[in-house]
Amino acid sequence: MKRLILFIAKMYPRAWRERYGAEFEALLKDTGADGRIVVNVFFGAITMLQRWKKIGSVTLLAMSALLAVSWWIGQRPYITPGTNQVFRMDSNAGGMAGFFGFFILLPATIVGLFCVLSCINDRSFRGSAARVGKVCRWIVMAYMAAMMLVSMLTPRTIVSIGDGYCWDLWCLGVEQVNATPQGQNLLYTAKVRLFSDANHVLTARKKNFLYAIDEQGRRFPVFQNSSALPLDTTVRPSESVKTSLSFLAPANARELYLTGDQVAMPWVYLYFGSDINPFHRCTLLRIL
Amino acid sequence: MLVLASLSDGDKHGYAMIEDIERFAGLRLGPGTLYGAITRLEERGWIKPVASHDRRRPYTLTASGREYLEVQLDTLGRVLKTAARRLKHA
Repeated sequence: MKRLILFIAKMYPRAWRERYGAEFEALLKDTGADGRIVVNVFFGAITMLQRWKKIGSVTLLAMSALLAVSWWIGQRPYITPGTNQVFRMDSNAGGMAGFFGFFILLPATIVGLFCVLSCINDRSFRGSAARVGKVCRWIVMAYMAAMMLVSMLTPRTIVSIGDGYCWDLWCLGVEQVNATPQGQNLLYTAKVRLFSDANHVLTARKKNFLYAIDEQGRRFPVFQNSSALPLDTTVRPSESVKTSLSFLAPANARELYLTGDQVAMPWVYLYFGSDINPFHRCTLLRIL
Repeated sequence: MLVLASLSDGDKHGYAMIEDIERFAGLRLGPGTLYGAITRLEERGWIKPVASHDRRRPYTLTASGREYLEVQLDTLGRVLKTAARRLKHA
């Protein structure tokens, strides 16, 4: 814990450390080490970085403005032509670049971690390890900034009826939609095709993966007739099967879409163009 | 204000200030918070370091720091008196 605190203390700006570093470290030795001190020293370092490097409010303001403009630019959705084309989760702008970028981020993080550990444990590597660690830190920060900006700039994809969309290897296309009144609501029944984007492996999704959503963000669960092929059917490579699904939605819903409730490994949240990236507008399949 | 109050009865290094502030204010400052305050107070010229052979460098109040503390205590004293008086009459 003490080593962690001393390491965090290295985050203070160099000029500050030249002036206060020795006495600050002496104080840290006196105060002991616990989680509260780790957090306190960490936030102290952030505050000093803002004050001494004069990056605080101006940088934050500039970043907020850049993100707001990017978000505004990406507001207008991209509507697919509806001519039987297939769109993929990672095919949005920068998707593949992000995927490969992630493989730069991953080794950078591992190298950075190794350098941090070397920095703490081995004094002979200290200087060079600290430098490599710094470079890795910049790579990670640059990746995160680029990922956020690209995600904000990328418009939402709305897949028209007739086109297909692949969540990774599992794909779905809406072919036809019927609506019939049912009390206060409308019962929507969609004929869909399930197909695979895989070359070798079998693909399937959970039964409750799909849900419907309207323009107000209201969610409607999807269900199927007992005669319809279940949505969790395993699809073989290049196989395409037809089925149907239904959901009830209020008659006042002006726009309705299908989308998927995805759960993935933590790093998938950091992919460019990934539907579960928190900065990315997830793709919707139009129903209405 | 806590740091200035702590230094008002003599020079102290960081750890001594933390202990002293905890004694008279019941508040234990973290090292990051304390050195944030020390940095600001020194920038404003209200405290200054005292030469020391030890790594634990003591700080002392400057004349302007003492003056600032007196003004603040005076204001605070008036606020306390007013509040106490009003509470009595309420």
